[in-house]
Amino acid sequence: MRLALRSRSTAEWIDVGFVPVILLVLVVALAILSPYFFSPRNFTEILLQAAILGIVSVGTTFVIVGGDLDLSIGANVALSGVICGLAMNASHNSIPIGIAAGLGCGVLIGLINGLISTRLHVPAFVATLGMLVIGQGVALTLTNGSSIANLPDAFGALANGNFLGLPGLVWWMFLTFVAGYLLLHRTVYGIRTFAVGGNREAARLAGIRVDSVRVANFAVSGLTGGIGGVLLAARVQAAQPTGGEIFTLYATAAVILGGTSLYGGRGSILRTLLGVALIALLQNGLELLGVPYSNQQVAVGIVFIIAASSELIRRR
Amino acid sequence: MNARRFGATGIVKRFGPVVALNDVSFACERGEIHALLGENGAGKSTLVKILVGAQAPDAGTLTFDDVAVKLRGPQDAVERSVAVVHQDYHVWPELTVAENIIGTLRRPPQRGAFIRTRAMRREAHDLLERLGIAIDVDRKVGDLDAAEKKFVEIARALAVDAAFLILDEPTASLESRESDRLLALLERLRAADHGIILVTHRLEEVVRVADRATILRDGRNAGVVSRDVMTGDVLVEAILGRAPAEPVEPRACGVTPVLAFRGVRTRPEAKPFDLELRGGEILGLTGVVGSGAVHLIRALAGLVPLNGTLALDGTPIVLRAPGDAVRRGIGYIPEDRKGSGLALEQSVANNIALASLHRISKNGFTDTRARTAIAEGYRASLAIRCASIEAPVGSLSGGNQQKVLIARWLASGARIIAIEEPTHGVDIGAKAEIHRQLVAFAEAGGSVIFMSTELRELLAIAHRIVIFHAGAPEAILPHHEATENRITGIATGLSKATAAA
Repeated sequence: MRLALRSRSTAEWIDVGFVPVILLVLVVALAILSPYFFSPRNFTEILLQAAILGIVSVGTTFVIVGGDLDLSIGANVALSGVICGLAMNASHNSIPIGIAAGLGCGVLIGLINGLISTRLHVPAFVATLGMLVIGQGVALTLTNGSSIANLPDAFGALANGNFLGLPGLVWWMFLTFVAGYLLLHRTVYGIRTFAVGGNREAARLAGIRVDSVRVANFAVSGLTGGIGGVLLAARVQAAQPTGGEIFTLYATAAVILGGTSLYGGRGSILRTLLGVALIALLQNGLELLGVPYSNQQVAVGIVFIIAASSELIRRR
Repeated sequence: MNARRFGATGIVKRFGPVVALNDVSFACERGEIHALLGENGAGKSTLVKILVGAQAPDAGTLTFDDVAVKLRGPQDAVERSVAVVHQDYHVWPELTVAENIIGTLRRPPQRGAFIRTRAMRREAHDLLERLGIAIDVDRKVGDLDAAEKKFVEIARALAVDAAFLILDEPTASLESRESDRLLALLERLRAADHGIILVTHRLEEVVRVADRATILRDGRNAGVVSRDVMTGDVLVEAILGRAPAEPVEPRACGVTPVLAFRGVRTRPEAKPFDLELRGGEILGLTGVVGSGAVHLIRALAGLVPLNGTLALDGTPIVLRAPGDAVRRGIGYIPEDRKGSGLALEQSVANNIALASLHRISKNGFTDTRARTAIAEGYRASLAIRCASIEAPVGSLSGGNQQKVLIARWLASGARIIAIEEPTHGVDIGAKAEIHRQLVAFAEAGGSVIFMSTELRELLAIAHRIVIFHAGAPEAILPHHEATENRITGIATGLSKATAAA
């Protein structure tokens, strides 16, 4: 109360400026510390590093804006990739069948998450955490723990082929961001997602079918997990049952870092884009500076927690 | 579908053994503002929930033009052109005005899946213009003031062509100028042939705008007052419906101030005031929803900043957190005793000892025997009914839970007890016992400051009664000058009292 007038503008300033300023500081610092940073090759490298995370984070944004969480996304990426690889093998290298199977798997996981959360009234945190473990287990069982290699070259070109000077993977990320932006900010469904996340009871009393919106959010998140899984498999022309877990934390981290509220009802796809950029730059910078991968994880974890606490500052 | 008359006949609603509504009837015509009045617990909110289909009655029917209709849910009421604006804000602060009013409707303007933004903004703008409300439709609702948020909610309710609009305490959190704007809007809606059902505690507003008032008392109809005979006195009489309570002999209390509030504002716009709590005094605060009465109690608990200065025994103090208050000897008992007062799964003994653990602990270990002795002592002296002091406090009745909370502060050696609604949801026997304990605490030199909306409770135990209106004390009545009618008149803004000491 005492600071009501002053803190308001400060809070707004922090809200809008927090991530861009940190990005700027990071860029300047890296440019000074590493001569290699400002090279075209490094920028392509950063974009490639950001691509899968970016795609997955778009879906995560829908779930979080709608007031839920999706922790299963890491297993979703792995399992969708595996299903895609298995379907392609079984169909004598039919790329469309493989892709359809992978995306279908992603959406299915999302739908199951949504139904468990809404019909069984299990909090999304618990439902999707359970799904994370289940998905990992299924992926390992289906592959006996080894990766499905030798996927066709044409499939690999989907991610690695060059278009206007950038790898296909990067273009898929841009496309996902544009589609996600339109869906969240320009459709009726998008507005309802904000309404449900902002005040679930008010949305219900306003006649919005809250459960349908939430299930749809999980399905969108599942779909982006599927896209991520398929493209990850295409990138290395092999589907790996492990290695997707990291997206569970990073995707949620990117969304929160961008400034979307962890409590729902508030956020945007553009903010997620900034959050993804921040994580990718951070990873890239630490690599350039020769910090080992294990310590990079420590750094991302710390930044994640700082981002979450900065949300509390904003909410004051 | 476009009924002229909407109402209810013979409504009965029970909650377990409690009969909330007993054969209640009500009817509102289009083109009138119809107030629904009654004390707390008279059954107003239950009736509203039934009218909007959020709850089903046990007996009786809702009627549209005298045809019985069954509502299966809130959406059914909307389809029958009954809309409701709830007391707490049901808006989305992160969405724009246009999105709040039109975008979140069941069928907003859309092309395929996409929202037609321009059509949405135009519809919202046209609707607001028709209602005579000037708000930019592109502003975020979170940036609007309290009255504008209410306007957005009303506009939203009317966007689905509601013939009947129910407003539950729409002015509770509004300043008087904002209330004026809202009442003016209601009058315009009446002129546009809407039927307005106004649930409120503010009788001066009822006298100003209402055509009729239906009064509920103890879950029953207590008459309908029409415009031509409507005065504040008539409404108060009908709401209370009983001879004023017998005055109780005033008890003596000290004159030395223990707590002194100086220049306190309950909200930034309210006028500042001073208030003292004396040694051995029971000070009762009252006022309608949003009057600011509860602010002092919360500030004493360290939950909200006081916005003023506070002195304890002449020494200025600042309470930044609940722990500060406890250390100064101020015990707080919240209205929501289950949610924020008690650890329900924990034993009676642990709940009593919670604020005095430092007294019965050595080197971090609790002296279990001392804890048991304290708990047994208060169980006997406060007549707390429980199977044993090791029984979970959640298994006790509301009255006995409240006694556990009082015991907690007695045990901690608190000198001041601050309570919200000391006997809400407590049966009559326990109520008397709680009152006796508070009086005994005060007679032993302690001070009690409590907030209550129950007039009889204020008259029964308070030495002085502070009546809040629009954020500040409107009057301070000594015990022997207070009557139910006088308090109600001042609290509802009907009579302006000159503040007495």
